[in-house]
Amino acid sequence: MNKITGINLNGNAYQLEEPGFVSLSTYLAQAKAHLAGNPDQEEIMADLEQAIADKFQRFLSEHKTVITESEVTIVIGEMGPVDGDDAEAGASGTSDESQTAGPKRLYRVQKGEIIGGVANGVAAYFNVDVLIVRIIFVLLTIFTSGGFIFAYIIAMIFVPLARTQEEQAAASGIPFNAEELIARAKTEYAKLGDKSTEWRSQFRNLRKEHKRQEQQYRKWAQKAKYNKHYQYPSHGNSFGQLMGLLVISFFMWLGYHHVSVIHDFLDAAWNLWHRVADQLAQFVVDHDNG
Amino acid sequence: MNASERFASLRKGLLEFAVLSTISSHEAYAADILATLSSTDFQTQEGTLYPLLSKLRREGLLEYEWRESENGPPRKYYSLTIKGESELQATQAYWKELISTLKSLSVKR
Repeated sequence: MNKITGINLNGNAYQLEEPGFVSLSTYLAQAKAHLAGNPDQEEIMADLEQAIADKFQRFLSEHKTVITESEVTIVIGEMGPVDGDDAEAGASGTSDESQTAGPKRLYRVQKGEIIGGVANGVAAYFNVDVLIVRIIFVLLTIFTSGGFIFAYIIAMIFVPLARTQEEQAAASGIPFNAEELIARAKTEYAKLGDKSTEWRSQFRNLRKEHKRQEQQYRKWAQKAKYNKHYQYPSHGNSFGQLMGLLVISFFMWLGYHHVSVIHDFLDAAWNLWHRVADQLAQFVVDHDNG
Repeated sequence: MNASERFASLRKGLLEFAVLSTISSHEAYAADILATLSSTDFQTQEGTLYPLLSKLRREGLLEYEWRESENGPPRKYYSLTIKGESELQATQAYWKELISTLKSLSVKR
């Protein structure tokens, strides 16, 4: 059983299954957005609605009074995307961009967090890779000799966690309401449809290339008297390595301040490095003079 | 890349010409135009055609009148204006010129 929504298409009443109604309103909303600034916007919208109504007619009979979701999809497919005028294409492109920028607020983002999601939230806010923010955080920690940790803790306390989907969207400034969310999903999907054939062929080529290389490696491996257990070398997980490095540096910092052995060891290493550097510098100076 | 892919943008640019040509032979409503074009390389969809028709009308190349249909709501029947006729003729002349240029280029000297 499906919920039914009644609609009025340019003066024609139709009953649609609820999901079909959602796709149709999304389609019409997008069409309207594309025709923004067109002096005949309303007239074209009326024509489009009439065309959709005509197309719906063939799915209806005496014993079938409801348009199903799949029928709506078929009709939307037949209608095709609504183009703006060529002259207005540029203008509508820029207005699209301004529409996609929603309200922006700094939130902590829990998805993919390491400690409290502060770096994640900052990354989302400035729309940069979280790795860059983390590196900056670590550098700040080093330069403030740990003082930044307090700033982080304060941020953890006072910056709210993005709990709802709406807040998560606002964290990266993406517009949020059900219609926009669906519209975004749909446009992404449509893009996927356009690109998918292209992608597929690219993917096929990549895979072919990968297989070829793998065979090449096997041959080399056999020549080098490795057996068939030789594996194609993986590229390693540089992200994981970096995270590991961060965790290690965090514990080193912690140890430096709280464990005397580590403190002494690091101080000794620091002094040694200075002595070596001084001697190197001296050597260069001597070498230049001599 | 085959010819049909290579000339996708060319066809898009010529769609206006194709629509004007379709209407020139007889008055037509949108579904008519789509049906006529559907069997050709210029097949298109409502989403493209309606904005194009409205643009051509604003440029004064087309006009329409409402006419009752036997089954269903009244329809807009499009026809060429005098300006539209002359625009179409000018385009046709230019197109012929392009073709003859291309032909002359491929003639062996």
